[in-house]
Amino acid sequence: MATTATNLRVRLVRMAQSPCCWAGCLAAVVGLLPFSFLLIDGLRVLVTQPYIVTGTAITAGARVGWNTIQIAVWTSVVSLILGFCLAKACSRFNKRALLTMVLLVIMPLFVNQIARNAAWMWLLDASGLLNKVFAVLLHRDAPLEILYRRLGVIVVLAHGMVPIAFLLCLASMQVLDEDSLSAARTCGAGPCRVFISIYLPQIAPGLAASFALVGILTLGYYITPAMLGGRDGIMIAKYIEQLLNRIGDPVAASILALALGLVCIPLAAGLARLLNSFYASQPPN
Amino acid sequence: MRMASLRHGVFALSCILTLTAGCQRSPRQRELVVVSFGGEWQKAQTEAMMKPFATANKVRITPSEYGGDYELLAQKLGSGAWDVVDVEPAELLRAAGAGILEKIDYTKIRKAALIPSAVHDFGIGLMTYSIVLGFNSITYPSSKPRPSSWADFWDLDKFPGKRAMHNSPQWMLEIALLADGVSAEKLYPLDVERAFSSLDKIKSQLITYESWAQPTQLLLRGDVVMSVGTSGRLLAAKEEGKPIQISWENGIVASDYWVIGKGSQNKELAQAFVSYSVSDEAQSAMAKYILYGPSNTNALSSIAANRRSLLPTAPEHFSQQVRFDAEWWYINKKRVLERWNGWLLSPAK
Repeated sequence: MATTATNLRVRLVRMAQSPCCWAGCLAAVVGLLPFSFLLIDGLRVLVTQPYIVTGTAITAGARVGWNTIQIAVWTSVVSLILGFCLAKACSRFNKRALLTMVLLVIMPLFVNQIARNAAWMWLLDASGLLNKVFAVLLHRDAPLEILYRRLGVIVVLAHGMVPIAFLLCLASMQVLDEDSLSAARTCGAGPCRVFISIYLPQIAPGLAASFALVGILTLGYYITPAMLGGRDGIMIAKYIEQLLNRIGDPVAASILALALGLVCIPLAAGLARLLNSFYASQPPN
Repeated sequence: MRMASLRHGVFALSCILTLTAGCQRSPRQRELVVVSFGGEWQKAQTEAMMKPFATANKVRITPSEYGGDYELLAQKLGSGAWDVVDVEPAELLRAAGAGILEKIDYTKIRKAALIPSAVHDFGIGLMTYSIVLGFNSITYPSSKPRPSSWADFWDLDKFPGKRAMHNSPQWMLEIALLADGVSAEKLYPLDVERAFSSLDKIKSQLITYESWAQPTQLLLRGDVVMSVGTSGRLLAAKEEGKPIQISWENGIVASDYWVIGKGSQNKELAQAFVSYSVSDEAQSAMAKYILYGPSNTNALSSIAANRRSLLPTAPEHFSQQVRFDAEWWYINKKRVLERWNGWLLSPAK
């Protein structure tokens, strides 16, 4: 017990002396500054003013929150699956090919979000390319309804999040212990068995981390639900903006922003722990 | 030795930068921030009013867009970020009541030339527009029955397909009541409950849009078969040859107003701008770009006869439309907005 306490003190002293640590703290504070005003205001409101929450406000806020969580979960699942497949496909590449793949996958993120959303709207709407192809293949009269619904938001968000999921899955696959796989195969395990019992448990922290990160990012997303969410795909960030600008209820907006922050903080903490445990368990290469 | 001179150099440089930073000239001289609703509407205002005024008076006009939300308007006017804003009638009354607007200087404006509804203490009427039913003329060619009334907008059996509405109870509640059979004379004060139960009937087929520029796109791309839209923008698309038609029956007529914020740093310039906007030349020029009724009656003579029949203020259309009641919305908008949002978020039955 004494050694862990001394270790902790030593680590804290070292952190306080390192400029990198201070730079990191400063960056975090500056990054969180705009959001923190809403958070602090929400806290102040909760503590000082007895907010008379109307029935409509509660059901509206709860419904939007539940919608947001559903969209976040679906987006995380879809982008995790796609990111995992992509990462598995290029986990064995040499350094040069891997770098090229990473650049190619990240490229959509360089395009402005609004331009990306507009491109998706053009692709998916009733006269879009997708519907034209489906009309020819399936001889449908009525177009597929994807936009202005939850489905459209999930599709577009997943497309935006696949690069992130890909990177995290790839990171965990890169530090995989190859010998354990060949050892299992030598012992006579079939490919399925190797995958489930040896492969997945080793990259599980990476998968969980990518699920958590995509979930956190999606929970606070604004542009996609604003442009193509319609009635069904509304998310909490869009609702907070409406409360501030259209309805004129900054108190409710602050409380919702606070709730969003409170939900994201344990997720982020869990994510940090996952990444930490995953990097700490790496064998020295 | 070298470290000392480097530190001295950095110190001297930072002193110079701080001093010069304080000596910047006022950033808002000879510049006007004018805000409107974007799209074809704002394009007409830019060509007819903003550009000529800017060149004639050698000022810079910085345009911007917004969606009409009062809270945003109040915040921006108060901080002085926006000088002149195009507002809808209910927002004009609310802003004037809240005391955030500058009184319009009518000494240089010939009031006699303006239509009576355009003259308000705190705002000057720009143009008269109409909220109408728009549809795709390929979906509904002239050989087949075409939607003409709001009851047709509600008729999911005769005209199946999705409909689009603006994401705001303003205009939409009136339309819902008209579709439910309320006569135009008995429309105001609005029966909000009846309007919402009427809206429930088409909720499953409803798509809401945020900007008035979207109905044209939604109709052309086939995402909806009918849409609520502004007559000028829909007819502009029709003039370009796009397959869009409108129905004037029971459209809702209103005017937009230029207002000047009390926090503006360029009040004389703003007053000059709004008085230029209702001058004969500006109003005639505006009618070239968008088919809306001018506030200046002298401008009517400069519009070609065939285009005059497409204005919402043309007698044959004006008679079958409903006049928007800004007073009712000024009093009730906030309460109805909350109700609308709750209704929008609850699932369709």
